[in-house]
Amino acid sequence: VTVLVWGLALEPPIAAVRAQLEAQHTPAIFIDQHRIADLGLRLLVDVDGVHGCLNTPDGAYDLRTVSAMYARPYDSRLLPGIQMCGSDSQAWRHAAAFDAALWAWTDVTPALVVNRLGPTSTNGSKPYQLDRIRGAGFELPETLITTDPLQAEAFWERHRRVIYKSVSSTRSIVQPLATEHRARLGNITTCPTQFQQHIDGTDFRVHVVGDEVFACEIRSAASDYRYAAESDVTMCTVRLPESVDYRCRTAARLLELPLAGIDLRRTPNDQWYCFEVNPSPAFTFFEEATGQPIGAAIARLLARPQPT
Amino acid sequence: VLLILASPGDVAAHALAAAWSSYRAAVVTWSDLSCAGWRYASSSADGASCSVGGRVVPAADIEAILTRAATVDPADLVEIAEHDRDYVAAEMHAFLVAWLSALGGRVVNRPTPRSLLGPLWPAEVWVHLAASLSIPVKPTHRQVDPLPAGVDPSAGDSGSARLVDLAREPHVPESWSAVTVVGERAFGDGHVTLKHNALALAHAAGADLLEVTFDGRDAAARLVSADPKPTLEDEAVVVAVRRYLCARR
Repeated sequence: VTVLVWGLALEPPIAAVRAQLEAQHTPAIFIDQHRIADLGLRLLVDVDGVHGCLNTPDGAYDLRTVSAMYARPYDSRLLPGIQMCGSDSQAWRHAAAFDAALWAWTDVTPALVVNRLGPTSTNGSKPYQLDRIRGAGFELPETLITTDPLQAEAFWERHRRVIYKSVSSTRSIVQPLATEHRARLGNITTCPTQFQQHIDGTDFRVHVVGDEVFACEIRSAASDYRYAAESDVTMCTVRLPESVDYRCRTAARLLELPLAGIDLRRTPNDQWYCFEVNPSPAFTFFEEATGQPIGAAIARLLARPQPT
Repeated sequence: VLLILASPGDVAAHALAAAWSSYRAAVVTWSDLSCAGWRYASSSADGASCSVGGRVVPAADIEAILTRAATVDPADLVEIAEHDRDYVAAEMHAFLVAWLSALGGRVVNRPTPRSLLGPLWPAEVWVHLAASLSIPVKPTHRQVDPLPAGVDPSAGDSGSARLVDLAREPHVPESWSAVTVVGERAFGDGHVTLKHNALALAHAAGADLLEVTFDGRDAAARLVSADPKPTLEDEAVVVAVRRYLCARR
């Protein structure tokens, strides 16, 4: 068993997974994006399968010996040292070529990849992703995406309480639609804008890691707890009802994500709504608040022998 | 109507719309996404609509959509403030993935989150898939060397960094051939075996429209790669695509 870890050394989830792999004595190779200029890759795909050689400052590695990978890279072109060189520079072209080559390897390798690019990209269109997990059995918030101010007004009228947020994976603060926004609704003709019925209730973040499920209840008065003041958010470990636990596992399976961070809300009458499935969750935020051993579970998943 | 979703500079898309004018064909570009009239509600095609040339078209009136662009290029969004273009392009792409998916089989090819064109994969994936179908394949080689020590990383192409991607050779050798798959039909001047192989590959990839490249014309030619955006220059292919689109309803 050899595990690849791809990302930035100081990023908390990367640091946590590396520490847990070490604690579990699992051999790991770190692909440090800060050393992007020193990284190289040869990849060959033929009738016999996938062959590759990874060059890092620590040595050269035969990719056929890799059984699993934890991938949480940033776009290497956007790293400060690369971006400042400009898109015509060697550094930029090398960074783009390395990322493309390694992602291509993840597309074809029989190794376990946490997570592959295709399943990860479902989060790039939130309505598409929700449609993909329709079969999991969660309640899904009524959603309207439109460039038509009149349609938005009618949706707002019907639901009374409505939020708006980005359609893509571009991070945006979930905001309630308020009276002062009415005058700006005309601006939505420029770009399709997503509106969603507001759901009252308590937030939950559930991490599915292979066969393991970690659920965390979040209490906050904010529409988007991620942006609330730290003192206004409390988190605690909870045990999900069996049926909800099953739905979480099903959603992760439908999206082909061995690791998933699922955002749920339970209404006062015990309906469970799903808002989003994060394919690259910053699990350490929840791990630190609750003590849930999520990083250790990821390391166990990566160390599990894979079928060849 | 038949819609052709394309980037503003896609001359071929406008030529197709002109050729198919009697079938009420029209080109939809990103500029149309900056007009009132687009609507998507919780994955259902019911009540979905779009705006084409300032006219609102209900989804029920759309016979089919031919997609000619993989994603929304921020550089195309000249009507959007420059500092907003990346965000707006990502939002438009995300919206189109959901909106086109809700229209189901009327969209050729059905989009994936990574590409509005459907399976826009690197050559490695096509070769890997083809090999799994027992189709002869030309091995792909890709090599990215570390930047040599002492080279100025901000330097342009004059440096010695070697970026080789043989799977994407810019000049296709004369001896190579292409098969264009349109639904259950295949077009090209190669051996019939290549057509069968191309059809099998397109079927496995879930692509209605696919151009498959081989390194020869005879039955033993090996698959090199595939592209979900065929050139659509052959008149027989253009007619087949139009018929295929018209049969989508």
